[in-house]
Amino acid sequence: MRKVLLTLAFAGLLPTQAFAQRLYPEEPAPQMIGALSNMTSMGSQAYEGMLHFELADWKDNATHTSARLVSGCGVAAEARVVGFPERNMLLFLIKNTTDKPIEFFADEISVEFSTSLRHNPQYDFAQGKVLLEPGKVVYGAVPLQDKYDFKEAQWFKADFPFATTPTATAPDQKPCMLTARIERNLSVPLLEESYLQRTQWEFGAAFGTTALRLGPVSQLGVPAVTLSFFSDVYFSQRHGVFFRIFWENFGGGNQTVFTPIQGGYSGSPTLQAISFSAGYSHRIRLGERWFVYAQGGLGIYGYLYTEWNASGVTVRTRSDQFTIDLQGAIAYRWLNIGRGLFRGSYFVDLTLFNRTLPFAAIETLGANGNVTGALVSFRWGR
Amino acid sequence: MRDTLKTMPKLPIVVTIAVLCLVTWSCSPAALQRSDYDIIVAGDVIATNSEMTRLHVPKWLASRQCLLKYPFLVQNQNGSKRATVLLSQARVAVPEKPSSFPMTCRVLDAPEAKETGRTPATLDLEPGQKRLLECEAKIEATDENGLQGPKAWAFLEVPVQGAKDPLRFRYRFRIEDFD
Repeated sequence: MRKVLLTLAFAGLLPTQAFAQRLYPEEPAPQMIGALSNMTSMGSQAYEGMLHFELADWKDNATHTSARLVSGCGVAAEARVVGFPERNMLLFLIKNTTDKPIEFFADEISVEFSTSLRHNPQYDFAQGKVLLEPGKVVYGAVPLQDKYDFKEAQWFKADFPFATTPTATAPDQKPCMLTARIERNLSVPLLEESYLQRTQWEFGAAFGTTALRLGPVSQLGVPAVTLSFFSDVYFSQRHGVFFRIFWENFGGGNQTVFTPIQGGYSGSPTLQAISFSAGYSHRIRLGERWFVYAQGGLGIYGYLYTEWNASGVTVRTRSDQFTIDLQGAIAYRWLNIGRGLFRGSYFVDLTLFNRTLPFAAIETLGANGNVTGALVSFRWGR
Repeated sequence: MRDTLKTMPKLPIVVTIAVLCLVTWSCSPAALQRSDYDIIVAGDVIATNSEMTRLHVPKWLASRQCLLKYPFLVQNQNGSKRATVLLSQARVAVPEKPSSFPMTCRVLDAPEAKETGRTPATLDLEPGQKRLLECEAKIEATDENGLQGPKAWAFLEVPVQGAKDPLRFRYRFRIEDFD
């Protein structure tokens, strides 16, 4: 329960103030100097909360923690690695152990993986340069660039840059680099959640057409233009739910088929359909960039049959029906943005769908059957 | 409406409210222990208390005997020399009070801690090795001991062989309404 609440808090879905309550408000707490924008409002409890998310396959067998302790440059530091669905983070705690102020260049932290990858991580620190007074403790979380870097890595090292503050007797700053090396626990198997990025929600739009109609619905005419908006919410790497709105335009359709229900008005009748469906979504990751989705659900499908009378007034017949929706998609992640308002993963999908309308009818006109089509989708997820 | 109220059974409602009040009161914290995150260097040994979690002692469990439990992580940062932590000399030192209280420490995950619960007198740390330790003490929470009131605090001190100062963490606790 606590883990779920903390996850929600990190996702910004709960007021984080609840976790930021301090017991001794008059006493100074370690200062948080930055991380992702949605975490900057968190208080001193954030560090404790994040310890629950240490990567299990990077924890030492004896101590059950990924923590590495290092000292040098006049500071003592603790470095850990924590994992979230979207990215992994370097978590650090730094204390000035000298009796002189030290400058810490928080926005120049760099990370190097055993696989020869070197990154200057993407992050927004509230303060790029921090003055550490004697005894002062600061902590922060650095989002690491790509979770997939952890697939092959056996260790990574983080470099923390510091400099002495100029004084009257020593006017020049002396730069110093403190390195913490965090190692994977090779005695336990590599865990998918340590290196596979997982979006928790996805939004998208799709357009396409129906290719095959079986049963009475086939008489309504093909092809129809289909436009769709959808949202998926995932609770784990594989399991989630989808919500989807479909709009289909049959155009003028097959005019003669509407004759039995036509009111004798002027102009060509048009037929549109709107459906809303929801159900289970299964997601499989095929590699760094490829995903497969299988979705099945139930929904409401409504036909909107339109005619105009002589004075131009619209006459409509609406018919709501029950639908069974099945969909399969293959998606390619073509872009991953690590910061800013539009951060997240961007996908392009090819979707095949099948809709079964067991009882559909437009007045006396049978419109039930099976509809199969294809869609091209663009989706954005975080 | 009046008839409905008249016919309602009052005793079960009163009892339910009383039980809820009692449970709420008895589960509210009487004592609360915490520590600020800190990193301490003593000789070649570096320690962090970020494993420390808050300990809430509910009223129905509270007594004047206050149990202090303190987990912390130690690491030998010397790349070539062994370091020794003197566990048997671990103490709780109360500021401005002459008294200090012995602590018992164990190495979490060490075989001897699991099987016998015995405390090793010393802990040798090989170069680069890290260990998770837990020290504990039972102290009577009184004014005389300096551990009464809303802002009581003490030091957890664990000496390291050859180091000038011990590993010293500040430990705070709030104790209220024991009686």
